[in-house]
Amino acid sequence: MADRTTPLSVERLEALLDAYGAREEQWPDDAREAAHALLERSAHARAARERAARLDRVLDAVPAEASTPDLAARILADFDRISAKTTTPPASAARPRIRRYLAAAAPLAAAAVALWLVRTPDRSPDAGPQIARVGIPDLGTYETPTDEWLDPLGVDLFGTLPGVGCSDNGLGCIDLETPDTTGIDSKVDVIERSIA
Amino acid sequence: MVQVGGGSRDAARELVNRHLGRIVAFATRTLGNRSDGEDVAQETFLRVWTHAERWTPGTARLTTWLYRVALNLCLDRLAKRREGQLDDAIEPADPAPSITSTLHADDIGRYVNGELMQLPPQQRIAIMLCHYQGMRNAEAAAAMEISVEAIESLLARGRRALRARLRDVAPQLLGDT
Repeated sequence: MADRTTPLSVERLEALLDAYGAREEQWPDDAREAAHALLERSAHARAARERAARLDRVLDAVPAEASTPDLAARILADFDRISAKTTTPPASAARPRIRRYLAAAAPLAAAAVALWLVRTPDRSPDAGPQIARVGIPDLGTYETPTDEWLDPLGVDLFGTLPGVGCSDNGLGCIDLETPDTTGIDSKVDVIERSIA
Repeated sequence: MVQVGGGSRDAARELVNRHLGRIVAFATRTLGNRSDGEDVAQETFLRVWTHAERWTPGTARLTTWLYRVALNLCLDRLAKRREGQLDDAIEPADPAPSITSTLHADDIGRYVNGELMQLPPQQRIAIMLCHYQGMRNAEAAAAMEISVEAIESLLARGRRALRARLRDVAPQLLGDT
């Protein structure tokens, strides 16, 4: 930018007029004084300013549309909404959180009740084998014990495989330390293959 | 602004009264229609309400910051508009509608606005800030986050391009006939 005391060339003044137009309040402070001096002594500079002023007037013809009347109200409604969020007292702020916890706990409670119903044995006198009798209307009732399902595969589940955690050979548990002589390993293979 | 951050509705109303009209005018002229301009203005104030609590006095002039937010929102919309135009392969509007010597002021305004919309966005925005919003070059440069030299260049190129377009189709507007 030019120094206040540095004379301005016509080219520089034209460049300023091209950029800022003819309204001198828009001109850079440090060029205003020199621009005035140049305009006083140069007809060419004054003609350049008049050209810039005509373009300013054309630009001024573009109307400034007023905003719709309810815009300010909508903006203030935004303020109210945000302000209410940030200034809510802690007690009432906690309420929605409790509601969220309750909403999350409800399905868990329902699942627990369902599990209890499934696992509670039928103690009526004519109760059959201990199998799950979960009535699912759309799917029917499952009534085939696991051992019957495995029988076609040649696996005598109750006769050969101990329960999980069994470690007493005297109870018929598998002795994992000695080689398989009973064919149990091969039966386990059959089960694994059938599952796979 | 500090009072707005503290939840003062009166302060918020005062801020809206003082700045809304100018922000709407700026965004409307930059985007070329009032509906988009008002959306940008509303979004600008939404950001003010959201950030008011964290406002640090003295870091920037509020006016400059408001224009910067509005400007960025306008640029986002213009970018999306360009993408949409590319996707839809919209033909550009006729850049030279007929201009007669019997033009009314409103017609001239609409025509000049159409010509402004043909300028590259950065040049148009520089003209909006300095000519229409009356910002000094340093403030406009701060709002656009560019140097004073850069804003001077944008202004000069924009005004020259506009003058050239108007001289071709409507020399009487510039008094060149």
